[in-house]
Amino acid sequence: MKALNLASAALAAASLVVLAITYRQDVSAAPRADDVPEAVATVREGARALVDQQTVALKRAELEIDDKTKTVYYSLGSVNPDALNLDADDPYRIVFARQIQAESIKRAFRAAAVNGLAWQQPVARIESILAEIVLEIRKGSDSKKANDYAESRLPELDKELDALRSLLVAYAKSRGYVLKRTDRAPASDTFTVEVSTEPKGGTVRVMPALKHIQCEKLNMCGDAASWPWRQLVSDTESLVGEYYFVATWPDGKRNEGLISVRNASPITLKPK
Amino acid sequence: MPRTGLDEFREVVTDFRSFLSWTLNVAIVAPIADFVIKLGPTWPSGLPIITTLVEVIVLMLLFHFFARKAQRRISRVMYGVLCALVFAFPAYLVIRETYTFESAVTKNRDAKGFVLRPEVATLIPASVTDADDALVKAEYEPKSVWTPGSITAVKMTLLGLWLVTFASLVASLASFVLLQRKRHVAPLPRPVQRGVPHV
Repeated sequence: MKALNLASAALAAASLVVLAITYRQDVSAAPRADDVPEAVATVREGARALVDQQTVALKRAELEIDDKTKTVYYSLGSVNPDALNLDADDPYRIVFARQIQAESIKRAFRAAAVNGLAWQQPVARIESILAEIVLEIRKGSDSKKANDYAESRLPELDKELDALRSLLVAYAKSRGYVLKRTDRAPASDTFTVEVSTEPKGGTVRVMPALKHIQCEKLNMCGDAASWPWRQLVSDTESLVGEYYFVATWPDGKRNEGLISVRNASPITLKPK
Repeated sequence: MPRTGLDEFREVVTDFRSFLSWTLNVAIVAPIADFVIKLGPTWPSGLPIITTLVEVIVLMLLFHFFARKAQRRISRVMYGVLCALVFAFPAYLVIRETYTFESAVTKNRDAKGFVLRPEVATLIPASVTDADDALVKAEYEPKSVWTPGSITAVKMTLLGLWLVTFASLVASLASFVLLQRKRHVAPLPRPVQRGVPHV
């Protein structure tokens, strides 16, 4: 039975590649800029078909609310662009990969039927950015320029995914639940760490230290208001590695800096 | 006497398994199994199935191509697969040590890559000491530090070397079994008693 599952997974992966190439050819064959909506529709249709395959080449998005353990499990999924078998400088590589991810998120979040979570807005914005990328691709004939343009829009796409994560954080906080990601690789597990502020009532935001450096030194995150902070909402949080934190209190006190999570020891943050 | 080639293959496999259990008795299997479990690649999840398939395929191929060959030919095969084993296993260990990291939480190993993402390479060494430092700063997510393609290449290399190691080990044991089946052991001489005619 397990061998059969492996064989069917291999077949599904092969069909993913074939479908991606087929839809890529359809999009290229479509007429030029004046019927971009058709090209966008083709991309979305292709992404839907690829998600229907439920192939193991895609890491599907998930959303599950466990009322017993008061935990919200989520994953925004991912697509390995290399699995699409498109050229490295093909601008549609990014478009297809992100559209497939968006489609997977829509399926999972729709199926979870969660009230009070406005996930549709960031996903709609992602699709809108992808449509703009397709418009840009259809305008010109230089695929390298188009690919550079697509890559330049990646931070905006990541920002919308971070906005979706922030919505999940706010949703979990509103219900008093813990938020946990389910798409970590086997070695990349996390510690459950108790994070508190002294005095109580402080708000703590964290960002992986590498991301913070990229936002600060490479300007990868746009203006400061749109940096992908993760607000810590529960008494215990899933953390591992180094983070840059900002803690603020209602009386205006503040502290920020690096914290290193190498074990499950509790962390208490105080004003500077 | 076996009636068909398949009967003979079954006998070879039975001899192979008997030999395997004779050499790897309980006192040895348990620590070896534990060593193997900790040492084996963590990807893919179906590795035990794949390894078993490799064992069956190696036995089939050896029997198909070499069962009727001369002992010298089988000996050469045995030397060849032993050389492959001597190369593959240390290579696996080196790549495992260099291109995998241990989770701070679960102590499982996961693959690193060998091509840094451009937005990480730019930061070394001014803002980030090295790739391992970047990994710690990225919540131990390898995809945040290295390109997915290079991570996949490392996983495939580890898997390939692991399977070559295992296939070589099985092939060398199976070659030994095939060789021994061909050898005729001369009967022990009977003791001769004085005054008794030798028959």
